[in-house]
Amino acid sequence: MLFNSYIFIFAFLPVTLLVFFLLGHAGRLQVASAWLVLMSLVFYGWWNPVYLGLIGASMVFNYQVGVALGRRTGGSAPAQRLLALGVGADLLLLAYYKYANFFVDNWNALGGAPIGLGEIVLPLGISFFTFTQIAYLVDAYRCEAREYNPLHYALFVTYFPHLIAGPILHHSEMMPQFDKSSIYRFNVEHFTAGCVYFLMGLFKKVVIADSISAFASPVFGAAAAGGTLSAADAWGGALAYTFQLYFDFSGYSDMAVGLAMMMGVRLPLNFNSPYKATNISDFWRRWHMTLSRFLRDYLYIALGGNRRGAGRRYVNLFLTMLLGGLWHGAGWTFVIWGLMNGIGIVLVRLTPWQMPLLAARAVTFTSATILWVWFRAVSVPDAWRMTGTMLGRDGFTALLPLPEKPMLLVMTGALLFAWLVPNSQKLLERSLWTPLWRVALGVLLALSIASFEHASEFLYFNF
Amino acid sequence: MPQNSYTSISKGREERVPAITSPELDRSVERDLAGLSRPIAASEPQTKPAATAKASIAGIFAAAVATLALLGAVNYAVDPYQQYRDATFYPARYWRPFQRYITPGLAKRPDYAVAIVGSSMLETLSNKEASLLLGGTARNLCLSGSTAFETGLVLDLALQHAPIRRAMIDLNVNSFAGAINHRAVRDPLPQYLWDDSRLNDPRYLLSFDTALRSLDILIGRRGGPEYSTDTDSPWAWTNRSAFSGKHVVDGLDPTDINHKFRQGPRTIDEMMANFDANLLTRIQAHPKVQFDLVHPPYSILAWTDFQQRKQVDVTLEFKHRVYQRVKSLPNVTVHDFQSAAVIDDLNQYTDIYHYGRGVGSWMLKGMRDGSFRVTDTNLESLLAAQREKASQADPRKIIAAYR
Repeated sequence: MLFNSYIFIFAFLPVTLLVFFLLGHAGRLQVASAWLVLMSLVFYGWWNPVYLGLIGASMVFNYQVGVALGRRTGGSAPAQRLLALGVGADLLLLAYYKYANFFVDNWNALGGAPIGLGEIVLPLGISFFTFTQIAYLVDAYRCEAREYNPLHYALFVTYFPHLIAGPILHHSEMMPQFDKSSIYRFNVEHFTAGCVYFLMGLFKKVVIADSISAFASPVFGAAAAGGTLSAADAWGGALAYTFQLYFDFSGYSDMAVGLAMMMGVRLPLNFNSPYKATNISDFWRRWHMTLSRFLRDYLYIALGGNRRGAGRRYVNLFLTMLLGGLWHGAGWTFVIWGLMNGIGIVLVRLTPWQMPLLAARAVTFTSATILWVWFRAVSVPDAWRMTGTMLGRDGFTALLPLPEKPMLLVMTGALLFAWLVPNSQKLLERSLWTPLWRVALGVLLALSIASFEHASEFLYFNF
Repeated sequence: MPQNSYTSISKGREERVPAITSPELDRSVERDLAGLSRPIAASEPQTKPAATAKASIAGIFAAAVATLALLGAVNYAVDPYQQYRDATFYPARYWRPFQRYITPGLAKRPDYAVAIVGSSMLETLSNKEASLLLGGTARNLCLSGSTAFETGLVLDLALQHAPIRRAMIDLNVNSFAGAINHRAVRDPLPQYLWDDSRLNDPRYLLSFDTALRSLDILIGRRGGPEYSTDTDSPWAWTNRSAFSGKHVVDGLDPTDINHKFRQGPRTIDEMMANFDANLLTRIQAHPKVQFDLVHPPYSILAWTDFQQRKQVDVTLEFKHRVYQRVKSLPNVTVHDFQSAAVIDDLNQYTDIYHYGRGVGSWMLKGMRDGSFRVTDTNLESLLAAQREKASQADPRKIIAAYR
């Protein structure tokens, strides 16, 4: 089920919230939690109920391992074995569904004994619910996670606002909230703030991102088909995708935050104006922040962080970004994208001076735009060709003629929006409560609903 | 346990929240995590006084409802895709890219008795001419790239909503390839326009895309997607296509005619399954409707293509089996225009399949007269003649003659 669908907005969400708050007002908090779990599973199984068993089994398994870990001394050999079992099983599940075909294809390409697995369909949100549970197991091993109410654990994993595209939640920030009785009672302030957050995300997704996609898809499609692109076309397509991805994913995250906020639950923020970043490190502090947090806490630190000298620190940073790239997708383009981000972060660390703010922002934005080509391109040769064109392999005279006027206007508008307009959380602090803003927000909501009919799928579902 | 400093983005000031990092790390390590080091701030609902919040949510919803109501009213009044009525105060616009949005509305009209359904092979037939020759007000409801599945859906709408006495159905062989629910057009069908429910009409009426079309009409803007205003032949492509043998053979590889068209192979089982599921069931369910099943006249080069791809046998077998399926049904007539001399005259065509309007008129007259009707007595000889023609034709010579 999509957040930007009639069924979600006009049926699923009202029914879910109404029953949830009625149960809460009646003091049936456990039943209300169970209701949310049930509806979250309905939400998850809407497209393909087959994978309900998978998420259910994953949830039960990890909870049991977590409980067992909590009853052992952290660092002891039995605890280590149990942690290895739990994390290993999670990674195997992820490896099978997400990476098996990738590895088999590469094995076959290298001339190994041919292996055929058939087409393995990636279950929705598997990366997200696997990562949240790995964090839980690691913290249980470190004695930083207590034994939770199983119903609340199920709610933490399946909670529909975040289930299929994040943010990546951490048990320590969610479980205490599910224990609070206040979230089970309707609160008009929270509900209103959540609605505003949600509708801002909805507008970013269905009006801005989906409109911009019309400029990006043809360019990448032409690159994939082996067509010739001018530098102007390539830059236009790359810029369009840069904005599409941001408005799409940050819009989705805003919707998730808003949905939870309607129930008085705080989700972690996932974006903080990433295109205002002044270097690649700064960019990753602002882009998909919950993933950065996970990579930092459970990968970079696990690799040793900076505790083993400067050289090892850079290797660890590099490896972290490489694996972060692979998390986004099973393909060499993602690996190279992660590698280049790793190189960028290391270079930032090695550079002793800082550029002026505007220049730094422009350089970072341009770098991110070029890197997104590798994220979006279907294959390495496509990405290589397109990047080469953008960087002047065919000469910069190919930058003329400029792209068509509508594209220029939309790209300029999107850039100004990303650079000058405060992000959703900042907007929410401002005077959104005046009558004029209410009307403006209402019109935004109407325009968003009116744009559903050509709505596309969210870009981040497969990551 | 060490604490991390979290910057609350929502409040713009520092606040302390429990740490979630490894216990052995100190703050210098934390700072050193470069791009991955900054903690995440949890958002916080911006609480306002309850009265303000209530007024805000009421105001937002009221503005949204008012905007949507205005949008819906304008779209209903203009009805650019003619779902509720024929265009009244403006010349109808038939946007070719939205053919599958407009056609269900046209099919649901109760004012016609002859339906023409199928693919582009019959798409250019004139409504007026068909009305005159086939004995009743006709509506051409063909879809470009239609498969048997889509043809069946259109036929359903016509049979359910109009007092249909006669239906002319295209038996273009390419429409019968693939699974019985196969569609050749990638974009999904707008189901909410194809069903009879009014509950999902808001998807049409409250759509921004519909509003753009309404606006185009109201302000007389002629830009945007290509459209026709010809109510007689809404989807006719004949006025924008060149008809000549030279045009037909342009770019053709005599050794691989299909290289330009990329039609896939067909199997007789698939074709018959398509015919049975999508057409025969509907024909049998309406014994009072006269059905005219039409084999359109492909050019001789199409037959050389079939020959090259070993598709002659399956094509002729399809014709044979279709006839066997329907010959006992008194309300069905099969017409095969393939045997006519017209297929040798490439000047009547724009490509190896598609013919001009003159051929369409000639077919309508042929139907009226029954001059190309398939019968028990002529079936085998017709098929034998077509097999012979396909095997004798030399694509090199034909193409060379028109170049």
